[in-house]
Amino acid sequence: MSAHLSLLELNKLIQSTLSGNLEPGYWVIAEISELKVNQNGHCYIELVEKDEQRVIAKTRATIWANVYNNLSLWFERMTNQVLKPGMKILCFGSIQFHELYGLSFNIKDIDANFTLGERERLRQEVINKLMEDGVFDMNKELPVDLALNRIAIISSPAAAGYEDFMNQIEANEYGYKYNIDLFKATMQGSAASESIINALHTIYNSNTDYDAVIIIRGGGSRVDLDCFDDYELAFNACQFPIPIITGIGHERDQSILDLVAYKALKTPTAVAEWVIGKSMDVESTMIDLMHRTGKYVQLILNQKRTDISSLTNRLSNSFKIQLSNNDYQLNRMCSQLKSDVKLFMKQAHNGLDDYGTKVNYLNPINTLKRGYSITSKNGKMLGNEKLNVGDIIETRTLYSLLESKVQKIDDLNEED
Amino acid sequence: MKKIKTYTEALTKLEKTVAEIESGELTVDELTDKVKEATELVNICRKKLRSVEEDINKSLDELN
Repeated sequence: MSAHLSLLELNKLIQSTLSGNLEPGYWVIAEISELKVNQNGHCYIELVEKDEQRVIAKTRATIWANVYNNLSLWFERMTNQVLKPGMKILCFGSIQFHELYGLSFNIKDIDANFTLGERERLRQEVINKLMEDGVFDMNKELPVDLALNRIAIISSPAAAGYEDFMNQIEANEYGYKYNIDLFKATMQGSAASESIINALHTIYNSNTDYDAVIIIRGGGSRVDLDCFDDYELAFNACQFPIPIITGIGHERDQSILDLVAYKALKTPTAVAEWVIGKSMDVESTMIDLMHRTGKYVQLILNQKRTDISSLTNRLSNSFKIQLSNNDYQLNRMCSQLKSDVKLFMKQAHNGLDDYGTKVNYLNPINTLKRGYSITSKNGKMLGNEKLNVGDIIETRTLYSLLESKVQKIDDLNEED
Repeated sequence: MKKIKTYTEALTKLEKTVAEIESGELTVDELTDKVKEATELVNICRKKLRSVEEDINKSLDELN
């Protein structure tokens, strides 16, 4: 029988070789592939290193309960994340080899800054990928109605954030009414991303003309928000045809879902205030427009009033001019009439006067008064008829009537 | 002399009477009568003319 060691001897040899050659502790970068906490509070981890997706190194690790209790709480507070499978960590620990349990890495400290940096690196990777896909800004660029009315909400109905949002919306002092439909989803943990994507699909397939999709979360644990940095969720959200508004309730920097959403707000209450604010903007714009319209109408009315009054004045002036023209014409005609009448009367008087003069002139009495006498024969006045000697003639003077006998006739032979 | 109603009637008669007087074919007695008639007619005409003139002036005054 050749020289040999018992298994215990071998393991003890390994143990002493390791402890003689290894430093008391090492900082190691590794990914957690499995993590379990037993009833005593001890944490059992499987650490791996991958090249692409292939595991190229693997080691068991432990964090004893006395360390784990404080370390896990501190880590959560620093990173807002819990230690979980898939997470890359930088941890400090020592190699222990137990003859019965074998090799194990006993973790005593974890560098939270490394995890934060690592997380940021992963986030940047997702952002770069979305940019390369050309979808990063798609949801931001959607047109949004001035006021939102039909709203789809993705949330967990039991979440305090959902309740906050609904209270705020329903109690708005302006009395705005919104049509709100809730689409249930798991809002944290590894199932959240897929659950939210499903809710988005349900909204899309509902064929309802929603003005916006609001994704809200709130209350509950502040940790484990990695689901909102998920590439698939962001990729779906970017390309969703309805504007997405988030109120996820991050205290730290924005999640990738926030970055790609149309509008990101810190809390569900802030989202409700924003929605109400938009309605107020529309209402105040409308009130402003109404006032402006009113003023404009008043302006037009005043202008028309001025126009009418100016027309009235013109009409009245035109009447006055017409009247004064007519008046002038009437007066002229009046004067004409008067002068015509005067002329006519004068002519009539003159005519009559002529007759009067003529009658006076023809009156034989006047002739007799001037010493003339009228001679007649047989009652007929003598003109050019011939008288004979012995004819009896009558002579009329002013006061006498003489009867004479013609004794001698001398012809006067007056030519004219 | 029958009653003369209008100025025109009086004037026509006056013209006719004057023409008769001017014709020189009247007897002395007729002449005297005609002259008397013509004088009356002239007076009637004057009276009527004056009355018309008054009426017209009255109407014209109302225009002012």
